[in-house]
Amino acid sequence: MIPITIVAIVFAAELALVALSFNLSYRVVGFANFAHIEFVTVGAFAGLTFADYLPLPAAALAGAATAGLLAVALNLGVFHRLRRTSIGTRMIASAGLALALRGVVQWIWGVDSHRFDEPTRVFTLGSAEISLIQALIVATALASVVAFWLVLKYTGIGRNVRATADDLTLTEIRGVPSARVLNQVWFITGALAGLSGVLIGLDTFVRPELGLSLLVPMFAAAIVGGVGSPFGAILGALLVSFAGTAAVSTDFGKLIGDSSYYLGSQYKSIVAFCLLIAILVIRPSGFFGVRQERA
Amino acid sequence: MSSVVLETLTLAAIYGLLVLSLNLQYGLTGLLNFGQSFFFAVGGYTVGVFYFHGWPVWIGIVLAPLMGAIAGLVLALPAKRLDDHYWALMTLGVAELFLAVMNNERGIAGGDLGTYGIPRLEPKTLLPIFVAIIVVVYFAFERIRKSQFGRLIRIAREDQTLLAAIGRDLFGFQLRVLMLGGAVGSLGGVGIAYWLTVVAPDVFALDQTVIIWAMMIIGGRGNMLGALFGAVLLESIFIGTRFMPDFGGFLAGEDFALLRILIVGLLLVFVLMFRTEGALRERKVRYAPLR
Repeated sequence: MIPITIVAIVFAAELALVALSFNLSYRVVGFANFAHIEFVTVGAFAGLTFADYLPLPAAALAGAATAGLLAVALNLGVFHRLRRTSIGTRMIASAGLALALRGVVQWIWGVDSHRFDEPTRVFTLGSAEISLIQALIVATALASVVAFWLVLKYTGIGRNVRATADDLTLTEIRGVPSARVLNQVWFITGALAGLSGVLIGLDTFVRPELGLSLLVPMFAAAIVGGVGSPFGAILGALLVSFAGTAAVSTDFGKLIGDSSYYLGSQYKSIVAFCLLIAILVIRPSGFFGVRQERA
Repeated sequence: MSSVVLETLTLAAIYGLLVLSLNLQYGLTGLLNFGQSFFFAVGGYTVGVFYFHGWPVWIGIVLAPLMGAIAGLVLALPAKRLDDHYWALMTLGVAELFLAVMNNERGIAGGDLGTYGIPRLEPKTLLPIFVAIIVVVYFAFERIRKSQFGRLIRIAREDQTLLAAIGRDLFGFQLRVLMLGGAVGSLGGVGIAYWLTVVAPDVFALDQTVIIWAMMIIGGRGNMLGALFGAVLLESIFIGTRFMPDFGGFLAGEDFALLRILIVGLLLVFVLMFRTEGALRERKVRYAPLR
C-alpha cells in the first residue's frame, strides 16, 4: 500500500497547484476558464524548451512565466473585452480558446510525448521508493501553496485581489486599479498552472493532451474543496487523488465472485468525478466554499 | 451533385441535428450544456451496442431517441440541486464518464477499439433520410419557439426569478427541454455511426462538443435557421481544408487536423467578441397574452 500512497501524494501535489490556481481565477475573474488547463500544457512544453539552455530550476520558472504571460495576453486580447457579457458567453469563449491553444501547441511542439532529460536519484523509504524529482515536486507544490496563501493574506496585492473578488464596483470606487489587479491574477494563476505542468512533465511525460487529461480532476478538486478557498483546493486535490488511486488499486474480485478484478486506470479521474457529483448534490458550495448568490 | 457537396451536406445534416438540439437547450432555454457530445455518443452507442452483439440493428435505431431522452433525464436530475455553472461543469463530466466506461469495458461495444463494420449507407441514401428528419425537427422546434412553452423557456433563460414569480416551475421546463434535446441529439449519433461505419470513443470526444457549440454560436443563438447555417458553414470549412495548397510541403497531413481545430476555436471567439448574436439574429415573437 505504501508505494501507492506515494504515487497518490505526488499526484495530489501536482493537482493541488492546478486546482488552486483554477480556483482563484474562477473566484476573481468570475467564470470557469476551460483554457486554464492549456496553461498547464504550455508551461510544460515551454519548460522543456528552456531546459535545453538553462539549468532545470530556471527552466521551470521560465516555463511558468511563459504560461503566465500567455494568460495575461488572453485576458487583454479576449476576456477583458468580454467582461460585460454573461458568464456563459465567457465560458464558451474559453472553451473555444482551449481548443485553438491545443492546436497551436501541437503546431509548435508536435504531437509526440517528450521526457525531461534529467537523471534522477531514488531514495528508499521503508518498502517504498521515492525519486528526488518526486520529493521536489511535493516540496515545490507545498512551498507554492504557502507562498500563495501568504501573498493573498498579508500583501497589498493580496488585499486588492480579495477585494476585487468580493465586489468589483466597490473596489474601483475605493481607487484600486482593478484592471491591473486582474492582470496580476491572470499572471499568477497562469504561472502556477504552468509550473504544475513542468512538475507533471518531470514526473511523467510532456504531451499535448497533458492539460486536457487534467480537466475533469481539476473541476472535481476545485469544486469538492469549494470555489474560492485555497485550502479547500488542496484538500480537494488530496481527496480526488486518494479516492482515485484507492479505486484503481483495490481488488474487487470478492465483490463479484471472480478471483481478481481491478478497475482500469482510466477510472481514476472518473471516481474523482463521481465524488464531485455526490458532494455537489449533498453540499452545493463544497466543503470550504464561499457561498455564491444564486441569480 | 458532386460527391464533395453530398459529403458536406450529409455531415452538415448529421451535425445540424446536434446543433438544433443545443439551440433548443442554450439558445432558447439558456442551459449551458457542455455535455452535448454525451447525447451524440448515446445515439451512436445505441446503434453500436446492438451491432456489436449481433442483435437486429433497426431496434437500436428505434431505441436511440429513447435512450437520448433518458440521457437528457440523467443530465436534468442534478439541475435541481446545483448552481447553473456547477451544472455546466457537471454535464462535461458526465460525457467524459460515459466515454471512459465505453473505453474500458470491452464487453459493451468493443472498448477502446470500438465497433467496426456497421454497414455503410451511401450519401445518396443517408442524405435524404437526414434532410427529412431535419425538416421535421426544424418545424417542430419553430412551433415550440412560437408557442406558450417557447415563451416560458425564454423567460427561464432571461430571468429565473420572474419565472418563479409567475408561478412556473423552472425544473419542469429544464427537464422537458433536456429530454427533447437528448432525443434529437442522439439521432445525430445514429447518423455518424452509419456515416463512419465505426462507433468508438474517439468519435465522440470532448472536441465534438466545442465544434457543436461553435456551429450554434456562429450561426446565431436562438435562431433555428442560424443553427443549420452554422453547421453547413463549418462543415464546408472542414472539407475545404482538404483542398488547401500545402505551400510547398510547409503543411503536413496532420497539420490540417490542427488547422481545423484552430479555425473552429478562433472563429468561435471572434464571433463572441465582435458579433455576439451570430450570423442570423434571434427573431422576436409576438405571443398571445399569457394565461
